[in-house]
Amino acid sequence: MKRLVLLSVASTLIFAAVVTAAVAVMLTTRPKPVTASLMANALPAADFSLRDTEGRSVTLSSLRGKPVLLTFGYTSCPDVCPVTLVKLAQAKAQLGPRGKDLQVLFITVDPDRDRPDVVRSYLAQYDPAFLGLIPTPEELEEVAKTYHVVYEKQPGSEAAGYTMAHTAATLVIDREGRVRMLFWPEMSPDEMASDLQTVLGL
Amino acid sequence: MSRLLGLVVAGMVMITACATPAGQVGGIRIENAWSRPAAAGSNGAVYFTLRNSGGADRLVAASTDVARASEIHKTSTEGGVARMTHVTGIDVPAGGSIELKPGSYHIMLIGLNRELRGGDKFSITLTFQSGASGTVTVEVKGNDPPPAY
Repeated sequence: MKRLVLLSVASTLIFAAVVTAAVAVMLTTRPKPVTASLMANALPAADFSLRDTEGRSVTLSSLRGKPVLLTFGYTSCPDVCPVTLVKLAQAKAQLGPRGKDLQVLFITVDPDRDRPDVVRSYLAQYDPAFLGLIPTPEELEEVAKTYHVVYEKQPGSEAAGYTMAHTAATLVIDREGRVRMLFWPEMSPDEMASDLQTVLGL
Repeated sequence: MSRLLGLVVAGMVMITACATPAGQVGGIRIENAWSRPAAAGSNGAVYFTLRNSGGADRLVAASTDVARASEIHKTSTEGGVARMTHVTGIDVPAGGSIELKPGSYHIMLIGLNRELRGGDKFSITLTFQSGASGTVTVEVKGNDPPPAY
């Protein structure tokens, strides 16, 4: 009888331990909510080939195997572009070794003013590994159309010259070359890093 | 003697107002003036909070030695497209406060004549419609950690 009681106590304890462990596993493995705009259908990112700040030709498909963050901006942009770039740099830094092969591509929407050396030093302020791409006006028109990116010259004062209105999203492309989500400047680096882990498995 | 002391104290108050990231212009307190790193020749942005304990006023101009020109700008985002517009001023309601911040109102520094590095400080003079004008110190915040959007 005593043995039976002991046995039932032991089995109750084991059962409780198993349930607790299962709940703990469920809690820790439950996917975190995603902040980015998720793509319902992960479409293949259309390929392009553009010159980088060193004059080399960079083809998107040649980066297959690396997660790519593709963003558009211009170097005389003092407000939104620095916010995006500083946050992408911070998110990448937060991921540590897991973010090491993450490639940030910055396509200038102001090829008339953005010379390669200016783009290079502008990006180096955030992360020297960020790659600046300088399209010709025709190439810009095409790549922007492909990615549904809007850019438009806006007249400014005599001192400022024109400014560029542009889509402020960053396209997140996975290792297989599919567009998976969009990052926005309002997101925090923590949210970006977390979404890269959840959606891209970094 | 007490007059001399008064003058010295007044002078010290003025110096303090000129040398801190916070300043008082009439009834408006300027707080937490900051900027971010930027290369010489490029553009920059200055952000701060205006707290008004007096009557309604309007920020109409800004000027600084570090840039060729300074303008009041506003970024607005519609349908994911960010756009910067040159505005003529920013209303500061009586008893209210306005925050200049990334993605919104800012002072655009056009043509920096020197590099702005994290930890640097420079002065900016703000002028209001009431005629009040004052100078505050702007602190250049480094990119790590990034300032809040």
